[in-house]
Amino acid sequence: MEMREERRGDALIVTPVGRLDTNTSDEFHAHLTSRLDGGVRKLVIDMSAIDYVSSAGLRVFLLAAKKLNDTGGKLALGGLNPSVRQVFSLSGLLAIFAVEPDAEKALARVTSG
Amino acid sequence: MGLPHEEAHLELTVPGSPAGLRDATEAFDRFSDAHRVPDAVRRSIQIVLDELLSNTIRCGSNGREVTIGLGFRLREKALEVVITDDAAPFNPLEAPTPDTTSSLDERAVGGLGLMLVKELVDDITYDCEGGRNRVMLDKRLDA
Repeated sequence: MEMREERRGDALIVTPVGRLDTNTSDEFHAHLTSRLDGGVRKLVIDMSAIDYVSSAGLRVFLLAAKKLNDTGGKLALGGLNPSVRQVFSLSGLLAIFAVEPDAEKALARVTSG
Repeated sequence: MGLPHEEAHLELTVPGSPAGLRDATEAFDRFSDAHRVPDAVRRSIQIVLDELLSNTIRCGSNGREVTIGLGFRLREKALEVVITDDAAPFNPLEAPTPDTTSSLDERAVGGLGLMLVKELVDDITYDCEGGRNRVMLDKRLDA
């Protein structure tokens, strides 16, 4: 799947493009894992170019969040469309992830404090 | 193409494989484009297809080839979807409900898919006749 990236200070903004489903989630997982293994501790995922997320995609966010938790890192998400937000809400993930209206606010969330 | 109140219908069969899942996704994309299925409905049904078909492919085949039948019918107020397969009998409505309130450390990374299916559609029924699983779904167009 197409993915864009931007470094902002010591934070990384990853922008996946398209759909996070059975077909694409392994690639997305491998990409995030390589960045986290490479030392990224402040991660923003800009969801504004994501059409929808199935449970295969949710699994990737949970794994990334656990990995960052273990290393004292931070994860925030921004720019979820209504469908993606609904799936996160139904799964109870809005309660455990930092979710902001857009990527800039998500960046502020991981770089504060 | 047609007017919104005209009934549109699509049936297809795909193999129970990752390629079959991609075929199903692409076919429903084309159907949605051609008949102007609202984005919210299209996204919900794509998620449902991903969950149900990946589950059948992963768990139901026991090493043999499985075929999956798909039917989409766009009615005036709802999209009807029928999914059949010849995999091992499995009722997705009887799947255990995962805990969606636990903390990150305790949260299981699986089990959410079939819960999403039930939440994202307005009506879902299951039966198994003649060795084929059949799941019938309704999704309201104004949802």
